[in-house]
Amino acid sequence: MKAEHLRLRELLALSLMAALIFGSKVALSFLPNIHLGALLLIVATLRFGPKALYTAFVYVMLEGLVYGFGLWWISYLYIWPLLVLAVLPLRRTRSYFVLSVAGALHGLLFGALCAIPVGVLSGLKAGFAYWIAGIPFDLIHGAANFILCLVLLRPLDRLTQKV
Amino acid sequence: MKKSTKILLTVLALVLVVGVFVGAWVMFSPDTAAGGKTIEVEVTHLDGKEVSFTLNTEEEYLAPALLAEELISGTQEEYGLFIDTVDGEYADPAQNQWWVFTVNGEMGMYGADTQPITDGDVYAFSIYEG
Repeated sequence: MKAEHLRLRELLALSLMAALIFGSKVALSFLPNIHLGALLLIVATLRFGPKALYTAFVYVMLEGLVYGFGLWWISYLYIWPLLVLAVLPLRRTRSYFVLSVAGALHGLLFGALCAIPVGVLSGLKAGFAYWIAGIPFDLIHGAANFILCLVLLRPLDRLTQKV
Repeated sequence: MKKSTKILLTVLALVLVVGVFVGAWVMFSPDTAAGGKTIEVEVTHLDGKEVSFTLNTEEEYLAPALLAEELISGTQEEYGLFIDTVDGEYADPAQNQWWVFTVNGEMGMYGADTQPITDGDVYAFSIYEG
């Protein structure tokens, strides 16, 4: 009975994290590629481990339901879970600097990962052009993730460990 | 390995990735062309009506050239200009209507305000619904 109760709490917490990621992204949508998505998903992974994949997929579903299931959405299916999988081996070290670098790399590689479906459907040249066109936004994304993680990861991690 | 060395190597790796990205962008992003250019703009309206315009411009990017001729209008969004009106026809997002454009018959990889213009380019705008 106790275990089931805990699972329900976890389920709620993981879903709320997904809602928080989506809500914060909408709230910061006036800024190009500056949002709390990677930061909050890293926090969820540090707190819940592999179960944070649930948060990633709920968030991706929310994106699709609100903005439509376009080609970009296909790339979201692996981009966000990939961050969880990348952070899992770093979970025990709790090196917030290395985790911030992981967040930065996720932002930097975001466009390249989004370009994969474009390359598959429209050819390598189109995929490459798509990636090149987005590089200025990827640089902003990477820098923003790095700074946000460096400043907020430690306090948010400590806060969620109490939940 | 010392912790400070690990951090230094991590920072160097990150700087290297950023350097590769900046280098790739500088090397492979399309060049703009200065001077006068003549471009063709074809517009296909929702009712199927097709209109063609020939523009002479000194602009380096598509959006300023079309805005100067009052051929398009839109709103500035986080990723650039979002065109909602072309040749007077408004695409209503609430009705799932969108303007899309091709560059010399191929799907554009850039937004209108980052699409470089070259002399003789043909831009075809179509309104899509659904």
